Amino acid sequence: MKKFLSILLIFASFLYLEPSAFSGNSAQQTVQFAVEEINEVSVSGDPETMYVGPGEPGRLPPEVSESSTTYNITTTSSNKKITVHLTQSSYDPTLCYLKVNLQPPSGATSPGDVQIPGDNSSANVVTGISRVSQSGLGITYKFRFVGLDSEKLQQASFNFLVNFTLTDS
Amino acid sequence: MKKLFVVLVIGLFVFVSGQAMAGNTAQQTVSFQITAINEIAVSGNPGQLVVNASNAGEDPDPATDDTTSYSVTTNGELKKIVGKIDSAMPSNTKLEAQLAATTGGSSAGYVELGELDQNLVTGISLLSESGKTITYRFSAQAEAGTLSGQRTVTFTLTDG
Repeated sequence: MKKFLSILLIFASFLYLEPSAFSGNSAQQTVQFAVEEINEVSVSGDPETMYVGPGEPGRLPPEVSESSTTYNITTTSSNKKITVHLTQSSYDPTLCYLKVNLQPPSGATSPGDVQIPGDNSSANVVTGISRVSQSGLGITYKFRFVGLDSEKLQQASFNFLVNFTLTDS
Repeated sequence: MKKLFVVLVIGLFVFVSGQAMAGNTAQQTVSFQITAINEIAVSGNPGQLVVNASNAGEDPDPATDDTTSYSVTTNGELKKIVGKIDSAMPSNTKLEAQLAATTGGSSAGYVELGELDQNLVTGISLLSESGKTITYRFSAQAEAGTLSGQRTVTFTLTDG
């Protein structure tokens, strides 16, 4: 009987205290929050067509470059990198090269001009990217013929689909 | 004999005086008093605020929650609701609260919560209202990295 009364009293105490904690001239809430992993990269659009001039007689046409586009990046992660690869092209590295140079975001590193592999493999263009959000970072392409192939040199145009990927280092 | 007469007259007055309190009516003096009432309560805790999306080149999209509400009763005038958190938020993050205004009161809109009280609703007078929406907004810059945590938010109804 005594034990029962004790339990009843304790239970009654909780009933009394619980609403009191939420009334009066102040009230409390517990707010939980989280920031999850975010990895986003985008480009401003397609670069202008790069026109290759005729060059001097007997010599390969000079390198042409294009810098009209930019990229944007947001990541809440650490030690990320951007890689580049081609997914659709008539790119022949023995005939020409296509290089790309990405301006690194704050705290990251660019190796400078990177020749894009012609075998669908990836190449690093920016490394050491951590917890950053930046836009309008420059992209520069450079294109040049490196071999003489009269048939391909007479080709009207080349199109390259260049993919940039933000990934783990 | 004369003394006896004086005693009888005094006795008569005492008798008549006693009759004034009796009869077919009765009176009482009722005292009343209204003390200060200032009560605020919340409906519960909000859901977790999760930042998990962004456009490239922009800060992550804020997370919001408006699932909770507050109730307030006061017989005072020109009261206000202030709010604070129990400890500072992590670097590059921000927790804001917006309380819907009571009738006749003014909401400060989204207010960043810190360890010191901030005005959330002002001009609260003589009312009893419930179901007033509390909206939280949690923002983070990319520099915050990934994290999770919680804070206790205290709302206080006080003099304006």
